[in-house]
Amino acid sequence: MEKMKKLLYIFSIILFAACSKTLEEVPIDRLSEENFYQTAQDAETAVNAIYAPFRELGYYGGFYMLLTEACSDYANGRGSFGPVSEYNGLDGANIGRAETIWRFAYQSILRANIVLERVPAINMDENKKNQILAEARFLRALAYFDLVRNWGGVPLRQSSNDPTDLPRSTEQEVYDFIIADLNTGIANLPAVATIPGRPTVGAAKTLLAYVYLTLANWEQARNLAKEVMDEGTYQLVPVSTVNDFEKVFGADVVTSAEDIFSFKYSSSGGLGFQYLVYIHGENTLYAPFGFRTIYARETFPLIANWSDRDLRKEFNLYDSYIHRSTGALVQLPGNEPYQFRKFKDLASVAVDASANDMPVLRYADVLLIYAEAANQLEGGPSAEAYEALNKVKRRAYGVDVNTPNPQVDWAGLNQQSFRDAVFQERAYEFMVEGKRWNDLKRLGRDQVRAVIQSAKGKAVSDSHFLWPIPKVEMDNNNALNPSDQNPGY
Amino acid sequence: MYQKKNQFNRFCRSIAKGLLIAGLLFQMELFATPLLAQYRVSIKKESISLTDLFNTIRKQTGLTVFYSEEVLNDKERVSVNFNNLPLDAVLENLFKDRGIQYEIRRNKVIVLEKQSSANGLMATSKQEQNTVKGKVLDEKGQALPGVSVRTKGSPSTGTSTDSDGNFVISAASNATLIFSYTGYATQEINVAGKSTIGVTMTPREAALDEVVVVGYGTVRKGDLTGSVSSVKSEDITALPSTNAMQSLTGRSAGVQVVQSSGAPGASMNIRIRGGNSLLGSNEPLYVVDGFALSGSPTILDPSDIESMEVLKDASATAIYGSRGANGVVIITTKSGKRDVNQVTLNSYVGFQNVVKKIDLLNARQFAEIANERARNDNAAPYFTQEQINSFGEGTDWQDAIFRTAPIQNHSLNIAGGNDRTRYSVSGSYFGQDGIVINSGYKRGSLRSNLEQEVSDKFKVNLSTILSRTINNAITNDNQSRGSGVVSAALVAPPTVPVYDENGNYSNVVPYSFSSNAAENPVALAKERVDRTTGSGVLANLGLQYTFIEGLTLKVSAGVDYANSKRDYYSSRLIRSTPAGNASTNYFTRTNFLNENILNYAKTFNDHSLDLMAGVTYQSEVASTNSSGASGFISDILQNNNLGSGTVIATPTSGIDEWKLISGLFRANYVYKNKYLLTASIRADGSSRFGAGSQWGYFPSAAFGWRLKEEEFLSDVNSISNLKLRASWGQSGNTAISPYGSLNVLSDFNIILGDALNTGFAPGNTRPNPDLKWETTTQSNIGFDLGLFDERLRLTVDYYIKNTKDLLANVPQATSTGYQNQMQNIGRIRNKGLEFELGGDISRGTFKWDASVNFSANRNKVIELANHADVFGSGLSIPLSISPNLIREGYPVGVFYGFLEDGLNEQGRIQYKDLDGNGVINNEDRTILGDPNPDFIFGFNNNLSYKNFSLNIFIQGVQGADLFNFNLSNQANSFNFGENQIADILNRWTPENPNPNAPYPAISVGSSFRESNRFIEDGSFIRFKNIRLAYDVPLKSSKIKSLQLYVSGQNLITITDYSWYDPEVSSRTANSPTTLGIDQTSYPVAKTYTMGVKVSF
Repeated sequence: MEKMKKLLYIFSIILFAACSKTLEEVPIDRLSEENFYQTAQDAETAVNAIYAPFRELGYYGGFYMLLTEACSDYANGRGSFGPVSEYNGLDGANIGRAETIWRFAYQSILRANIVLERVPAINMDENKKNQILAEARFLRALAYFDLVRNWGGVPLRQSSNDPTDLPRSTEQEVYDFIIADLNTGIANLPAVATIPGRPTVGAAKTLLAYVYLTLANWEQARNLAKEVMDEGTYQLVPVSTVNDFEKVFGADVVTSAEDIFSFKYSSSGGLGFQYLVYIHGENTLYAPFGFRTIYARETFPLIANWSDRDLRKEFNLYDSYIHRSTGALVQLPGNEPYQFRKFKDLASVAVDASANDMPVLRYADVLLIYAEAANQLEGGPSAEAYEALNKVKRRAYGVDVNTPNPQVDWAGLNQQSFRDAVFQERAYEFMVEGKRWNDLKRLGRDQVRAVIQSAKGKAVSDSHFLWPIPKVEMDNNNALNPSDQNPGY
Repeated sequence: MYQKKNQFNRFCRSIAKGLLIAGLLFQMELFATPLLAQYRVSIKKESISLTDLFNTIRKQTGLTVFYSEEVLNDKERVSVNFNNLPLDAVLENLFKDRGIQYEIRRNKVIVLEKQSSANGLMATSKQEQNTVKGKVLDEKGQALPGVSVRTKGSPSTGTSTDSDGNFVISAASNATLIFSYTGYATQEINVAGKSTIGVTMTPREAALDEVVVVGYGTVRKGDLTGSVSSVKSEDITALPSTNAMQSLTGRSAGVQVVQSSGAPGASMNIRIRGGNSLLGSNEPLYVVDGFALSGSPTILDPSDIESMEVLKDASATAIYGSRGANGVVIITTKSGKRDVNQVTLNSYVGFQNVVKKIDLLNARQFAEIANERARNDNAAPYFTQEQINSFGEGTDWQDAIFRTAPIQNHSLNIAGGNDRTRYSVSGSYFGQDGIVINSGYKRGSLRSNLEQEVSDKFKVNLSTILSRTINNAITNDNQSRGSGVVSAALVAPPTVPVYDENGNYSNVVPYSFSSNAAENPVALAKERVDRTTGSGVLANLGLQYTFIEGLTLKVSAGVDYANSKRDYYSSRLIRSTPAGNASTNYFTRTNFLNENILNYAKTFNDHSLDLMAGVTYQSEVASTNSSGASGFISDILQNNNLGSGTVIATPTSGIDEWKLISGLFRANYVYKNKYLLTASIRADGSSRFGAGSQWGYFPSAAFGWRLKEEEFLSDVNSISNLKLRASWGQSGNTAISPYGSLNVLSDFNIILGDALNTGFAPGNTRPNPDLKWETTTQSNIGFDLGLFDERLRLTVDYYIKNTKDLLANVPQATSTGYQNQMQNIGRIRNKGLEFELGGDISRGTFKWDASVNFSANRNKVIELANHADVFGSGLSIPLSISPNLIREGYPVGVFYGFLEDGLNEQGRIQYKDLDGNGVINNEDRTILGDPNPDFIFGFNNNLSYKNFSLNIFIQGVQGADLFNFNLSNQANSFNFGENQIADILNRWTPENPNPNAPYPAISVGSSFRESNRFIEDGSFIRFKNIRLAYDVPLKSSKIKSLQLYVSGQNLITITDYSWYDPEVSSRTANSPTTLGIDQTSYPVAKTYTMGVKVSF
């Protein structure tokens, strides 16, 4: 009995002495919030994480463009993107894709909010700190801009500590928030990016001009675009042959004179631009593999009326390709005659190994924003507006950008036809860059319906203009009622 | 030494006051009570005290003799001359005139008692004695050595059969002989003047003396207070099974086994009394030879298993504390038996086939449907009439991927021992080719169980299992639109051959409507290597020291080590990897366990007490490492030279660690062999939880009442056993992964400029520092009834399990920036009823015994945080949502979606506007079905006639719905251009616009939502096994037995389910709440085998 007591005593000692320390959990393969956000390096690393969701295949890595381009008047979706081009609202598969875009946008917003909360306490160079905070605000504004254009008013998360249950804000509130963020960006971002891919003051101004353009605040849009033009930081890259566009969009380009803001991809580390495998078919030389998810028909007016003199036409469209293994010339099928080849990487060997970057803001945006806003504001096209519009067109026709060229230049337009010209130029210039559908929506729903009806003979349903708020949001955000859902879902 | 001896004497004297010892309850031994005849004694002494004589016996046999002073005066001196005499003869000689009877208890102890005068020994012993001889055979007609033969009323006069089953005994001509042998029904035969008697023993299944393994010990079945089912070796090996879990199918009430897929080596989902947890694991805890594993016992060859005990109620599982909530499966591997040296070889070979094929459109029908889509969508026809006319049946892609595949298993076991040493060593090989080309699974394993009694007090035991598995997997389950092998075979156009005219894999997406995700199924199976090679070691060293009789300390230390390497290479011939894609993943896990268990057993008068206390420590470190590359100029090097790729993937690595410290205590108390009481408590400290929630306490209590021992039932001869049981207890679940309570940051790689930059931010999971234990409180009542000398046996249990602080991965409103968060969200209840009925329907030459188990579990979500719904994991497009809903008041994982309301005038599906607001939106979703079965059952029959025996095992599931995702690909009105089931021809057409047509218009615009269209009844009754065996009568005594058998598995399945097989749940392994989904699952096979089992 004595022995037993002794043993029990020993056991209890082993048990209780050993426990408290042993059970402490210390991960050695990951960082935690408790030991991070201490140094300038940590701050930069924290802001870097905001870029990751944008770069995903589900967002600017491919599907954001595919989902919007399939709604455009120059492209149709194929396969599971086919139903998008029926304009009946999104079907299950594409609702899932829209939900992914929503999720990634908000993931970026959360990470930006964390930077804005954590970085101010870090002891570091104030200038650098303000730059990092402004960078977070710029990226947050971009995410909200995508959300508000495609969903309307959304829950406005301004802090990582916001309650889960948060109602939709109005579109105006979201826009006000975006504008505030971008104004801070303009105040604190550097004129020249420390490394290509980070935003500059020019990027913030251009994005803000875009926001004002979307809000039809022509004056602010024009003025901001003008500021960027006057600063002279960015220029159109001159083009004289079709292939020269590779200097803007090519896989080898790190940045260019007209690159204002873009998401960067690389051939290594699984960090490539996957959009390529969706816009190309398999067996082309342009991508390692392909789903040919969007295509064009010659019956689409923009395709049918596209001048062969426009170098962008050949650069953007192909109806045949060289088979990568047999070398034979393969004609695309008659009912899907054109594919898009703006982005191609002949050296790419894997789905995630294409090195092209995704342009978000280019100098062409600035010029066309200026042209449109000035024309709207000033009651018709001024010489400056013409010049801005024509610069884009001249570059596309391979002539000197700064020299007026009657063979190329737009002339003799009234306010309405000038705006139509800007829209047409935007369609050609930004083809497959994911801008067309939201451009059309700026014209109003009736106009969208008319354009799509004449281009594709399809009627656009009400439910097609805004994407559904994700089910998981509706189910888990108790501030949202069923009536808060966008129409048709 | 002197002191020790004194202690022993003191102890003996203490029992001398009328006390009796029955000890060593908690030994891991399973072997039969040894027979006295097995022990030999040699003593020659003129005058020796009985005390010294018993000490000598103890030294020579390891058996201790206990007695009370009332029985024997141990100072008495005797003269003896025994020369290698059997122990029973020695005792007989010593006590023949003293009126003392003896019996052996607990393998260890001979107890001497005064003969009661009521037994009539004196009367019969005076009668005339004859010599009676005879032979004892087992049910197969083989000689049965070691059977105890006694005269009724005179337990001391007895002998046992020799190695040929013969016995000789002297008995009165009217005496009744009692034949007993462990595992067999005891028989009483009246001599009736005969001098020769032939006896055939029949196996007894539910022997109350059978020892049942429970947590940290063993208990006599009759003394069991908890709900425990045993599955025996014969049932485990009755049919070919990849692993131990598979062989549990249908064997035990309350245990549901769902194979997530039919792929060789696929994981099993085991649910004991329903699922308690929404997160992590609902799998039971597996304990192999005392070692609580952190995973599944895949390293074991089923034929190495002696028995599996399924612990179901809290009284049985609470001793495993935080790991016991899902039930516990205790696996005991075979160990050697004293003096039975035996070599057993068990070999079978067989082949497998797909159970059925799906009836798809042929080439011509496919082309016509494609053109119909073009017509309905105002597009140009895809095929000309000449083309259509030229298409015939076309390619049967299912034939291209399915095959008749061999399966084989060979295992050799050598076991035996002597009075001090026991051993069992075995080696086995299992090889199964999959019914889909290029898939297969192999396992080789070596095992040894060694046990040595170093001294009377000190015993050492080492069990070791080594295994190697090679799993050749194919990309298959949970794919869609042709991205997995079976899916690709169903999607591929029948208009295209497998190989083109140049012998290359043909393009399976030749048309503009073709699914762009589709691969050539044959290429995908053959040109993608996905091989996981695993090695495992499970080694456990146990030291057992007996301080004094009844007080034992067992210290064990063991390791469960596993490593695996996954080789992956997707060749350049596969569409999605035109430049090859390679990766290598390494995984290592080391799990260490130390247990220190103290046992004390004591019996006095009508009381019997058993105490167990212990501390255990378990820790695990698991690390992963992976690297990959793509961009290969050739397929030759596969993943063996990642540096030769032009694109190197970012390498990843990780390490997880957890620790568990526990204290445990249990008491078993039996009064008058009638009232049984068990109480236990375990304290667990786990590193997985946040500071402050690390410790959990898990108590239990149980009461058993053996009514048969009461006087009012003692005369009811038809009832051989009746026991009532009631228990209550709590157990827990450490369902969360390590670090789940910390705000960990994940790393993200981005490109800036042209360079890689790293970012750190929270990942998809929202941290929750308040995580705590999931606790399951279970109450159980039940009874065991045995009728007609255990000829009919019934066990009934009813239980209620309430789980609180339910851990779940709760989806977050994604606008928070997170996708999910681990939370203690609520309460869930499982209650159910279980029956196990066994009966020996016919005894004699034609024997038929049958057993039925039946269980019905009802699962209900009682409360969820904020009363908010939780969904399972999402499926693939076109249904990128989860149909599995967790909602208060409903069973876990009910199917949720839209109700269809016929077709509209365009031939599109209409849904019911349940809320009547004029719009079809999420508010119109409703409960569509329930994947949880109403009941499950197993029905096992053993029939034998002479040397033939037949086993028929039927198993079934009733009332479980399945969500047939496959229809969204193969019955989607061609909207993505996949091949369709032939039934699609009953579609809506503009010519016959039937609003009730089962399929909408053939159109790209026909879209589908998660609706009742996909819900099917997954009930089935299956002939799981039919096995005919023949025992070859043997002349030679060199070979002890030789059995030949043929068997067939899954030969007949009665079901209404339309796809390959209703026994499916393809997403449960990764998400426990995503139940009953069939998404391009690997089909279950039909298997035919023939085998031989020989022992010598």
